[in-house]
Amino acid sequence: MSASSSQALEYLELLPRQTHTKLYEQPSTVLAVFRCMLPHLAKSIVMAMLYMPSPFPAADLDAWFRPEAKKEKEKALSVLDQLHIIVHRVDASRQVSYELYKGFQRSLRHALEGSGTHGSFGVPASQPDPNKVDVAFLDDYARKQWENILFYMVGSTVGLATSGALGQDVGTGTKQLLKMGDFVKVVNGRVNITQAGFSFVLQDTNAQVWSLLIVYLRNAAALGMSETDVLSFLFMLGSLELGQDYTTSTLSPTQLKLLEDLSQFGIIYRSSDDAPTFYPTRLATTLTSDASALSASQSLSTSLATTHTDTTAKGFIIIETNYRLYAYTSSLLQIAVLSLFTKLTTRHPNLVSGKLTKESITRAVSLGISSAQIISYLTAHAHPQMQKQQPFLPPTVMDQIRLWEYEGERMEISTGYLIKEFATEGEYRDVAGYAESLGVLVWRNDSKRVFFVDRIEQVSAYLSRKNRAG
Amino acid sequence: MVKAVRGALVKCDASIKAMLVDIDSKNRNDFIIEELDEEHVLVKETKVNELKQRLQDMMKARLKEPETSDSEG
Amino acid sequence: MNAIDGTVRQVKTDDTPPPSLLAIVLDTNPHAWAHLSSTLPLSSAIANLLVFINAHLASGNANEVAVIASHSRRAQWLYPTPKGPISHHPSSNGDANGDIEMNGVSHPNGSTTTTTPAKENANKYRPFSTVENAILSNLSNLLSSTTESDLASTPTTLIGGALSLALTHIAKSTLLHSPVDPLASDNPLSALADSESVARTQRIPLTSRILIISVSGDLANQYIPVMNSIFAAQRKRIPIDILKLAGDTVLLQQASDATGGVYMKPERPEGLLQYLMMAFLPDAVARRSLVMPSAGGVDFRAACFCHRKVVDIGYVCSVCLSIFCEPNLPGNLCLTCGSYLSLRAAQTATPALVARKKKKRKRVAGTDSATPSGTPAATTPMHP
Repeated sequence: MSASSSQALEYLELLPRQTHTKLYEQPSTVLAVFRCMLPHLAKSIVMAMLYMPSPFPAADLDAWFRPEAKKEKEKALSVLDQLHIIVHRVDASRQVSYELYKGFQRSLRHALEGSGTHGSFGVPASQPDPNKVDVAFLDDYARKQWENILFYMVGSTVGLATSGALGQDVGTGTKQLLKMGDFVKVVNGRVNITQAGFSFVLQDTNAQVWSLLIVYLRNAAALGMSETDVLSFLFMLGSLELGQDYTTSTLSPTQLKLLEDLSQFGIIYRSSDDAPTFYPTRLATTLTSDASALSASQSLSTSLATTHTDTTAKGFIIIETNYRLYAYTSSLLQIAVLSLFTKLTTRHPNLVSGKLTKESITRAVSLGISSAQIISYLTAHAHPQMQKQQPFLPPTVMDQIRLWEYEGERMEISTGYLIKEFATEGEYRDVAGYAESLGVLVWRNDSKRVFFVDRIEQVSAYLSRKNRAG
Repeated sequence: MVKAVRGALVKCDASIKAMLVDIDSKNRNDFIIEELDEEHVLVKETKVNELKQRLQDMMKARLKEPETSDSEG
Repeated sequence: MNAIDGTVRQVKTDDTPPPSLLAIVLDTNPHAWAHLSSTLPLSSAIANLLVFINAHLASGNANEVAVIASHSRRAQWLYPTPKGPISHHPSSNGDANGDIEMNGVSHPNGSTTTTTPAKENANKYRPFSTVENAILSNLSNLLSSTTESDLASTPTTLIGGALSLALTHIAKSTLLHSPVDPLASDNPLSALADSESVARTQRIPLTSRILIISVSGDLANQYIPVMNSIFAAQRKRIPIDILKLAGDTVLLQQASDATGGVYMKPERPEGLLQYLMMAFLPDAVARRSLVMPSAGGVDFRAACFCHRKVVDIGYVCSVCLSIFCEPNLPGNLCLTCGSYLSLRAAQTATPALVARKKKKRKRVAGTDSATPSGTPAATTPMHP
């Protein structure tokens, strides 16, 4: 699971059961959820149960897993539980078994068999488009639109000379959305990027798209759209084919409205606002796939990151052990991002050079950028020459970036719940062990019988189940 | 009966913890819910940012920053 | 802060499982399917197989699939479709050419061109329908081009050729997927095969496996080519999974055992899809956490090189290790390497030695009951 889909997963997990049930009516949504939201083992479990004629007894499931994989099993089951994909059944003889939710099962079968009449995988345009556009054009379009958004966010903060001209191509709806998502703040007509905005800029493209779309989803209700409608349309977009034009005639009014906004982001392309067809761009078709796994989309995320004049296909940053940094780029956007945490000194036609200093890093940290973000950004854009070593970045540099950050940050804070006052040692061990296998356990103190979790829903459900059973 | 308390778990050095406890005691125990052990304190979630700020002020007042090492720039 | 250790510098690794290539060898032996037609006709087997393929493609975003039909006299690509005109006559030499240029080997997200234009269907995920259409049209081509003389000439299937095709395809895809820079990391497949430690220089980002859906019985006549393929797969750490719907053969048991694959011989072939989904869908990564069915007792007997018979006791050439079932070699020369080999002498000169060895083996094999039902207890363990 990539960082981008885990973000979407987090959002999905928090949706109520009714929304899930409604979402799972669409085979395309179910397929997308299956493909990119589920942990690997959860997929195996779902597939094993998909055509099983009877519920899957928990004892059999346990036997299927190796004893050492108990943790992974619990984790997979908990995700399936959260997404309302499987349901526990306890029969008369108190045997626990698992079953897939009927709606999910039906839709996934439809998706795999290609049966049904749902038409949820997009209806291609029947008439050939007179102004058909090719894939290269779509990539170019998507890149330009998306870069504009990033420029708009970063531009004024780093004080680019041309910042006045920036953001003119960004639609008012998008600007509104960035504000709602707390990515930028407008103070006296000047756009200031926020802490969340910095994290946004440093993510990879796919994760950025999801972040923006999740903000969109959160505000969908306020815009008079149904969340499920929007979400299932996004999942459908992810299953479309690049370079194919699709008809708009089968879309609901909500989805038509959605099309306008999405074309502003560069996620889809329409030749005009009332065109009867639309093209998904690569931003759309990689929504539900792993950007890193597909070479094609990988070239996009880097081509998005660099300008057309830049011929470097992959990474462009070289860091030496003396903290000097050289970046083979002429993209203003890249330079702007780099200048967030680097002391840039010289600029050449295809190269900027500078240095990572304590000052520059602590400034970045005080702006809300974490050392992990800086390191992952540098790693993601490391020059091919750098990629010959493992790890890509010099270890001294990575360590120093972290140490500089920790110097300013003396406390590690995690919010959640402290669980205490267990009656017996056995009960404490059992519940703490369960929390640990779910991956929500942050800290435990065995002598005091207390532990801390960052999410409580499943632990409390487990406790109440236990109480009922006991 | 098992109890769950909502809050923010702060993990820090013993020295930093001492400062946190100090801040707390000077402010009508407004921040800390429970001291868990040498390195962990449970803090009211709403007060985390204020506590952070106060800690930083305290550090600034008490600690001398070593020479700014930008010599090899 | 004590907990902060600046030396912890592991790069956040992507825990995404590597893309997985599944090469399916479908035994389309018409004789065997005719036998099965009452319980599981070929058409419904294909339908179930297609669902399974879709499930595989859905399980990982970059997953790939290749399907090869092992027919009575040739091995034929079903997917990806070979480039160039498909001959509508069975090729005269029977064996498919290994170096066919293929299309569609790139990424699975569309852009694969098939010989038949894919029907636009809004109810179906595009990558799925592309694969399905290609397989169905290629299969019907294959079946319609089968002549009666083909059927009459042989009762078995060309599993050896199909396996070789699968291996070549996997080798090619692995090359296409190999990273620019060698990452010193553990091989996810290393736990699977128990072969000799091959020096692994780089991480293979594509994990491959072969699934043979076999319905034919005796395959001993292809002992040598199949065994060679097995060794190649073992070396490349490609598990060979076997789903035996009908018939029985020692050869395929050995294949799955030697490569660390799954072996299943369902009692009744009707529940095909459930078997596929549960036992054969998990890829190498998932298999590390799951208990997978294996052959249990494996019959390790070899087939002789002279008459392709499965033998309990054979004669082995001291130079090339070829196995013969009887000592009467023409001119006392080894059939494989041509070196002088007087087996009759071996038989008469030291009968006691052979006998003692045989007895010992016999007892060992008998006590741990390593032989599956229906085979005699005496085995010649030939575990590679």
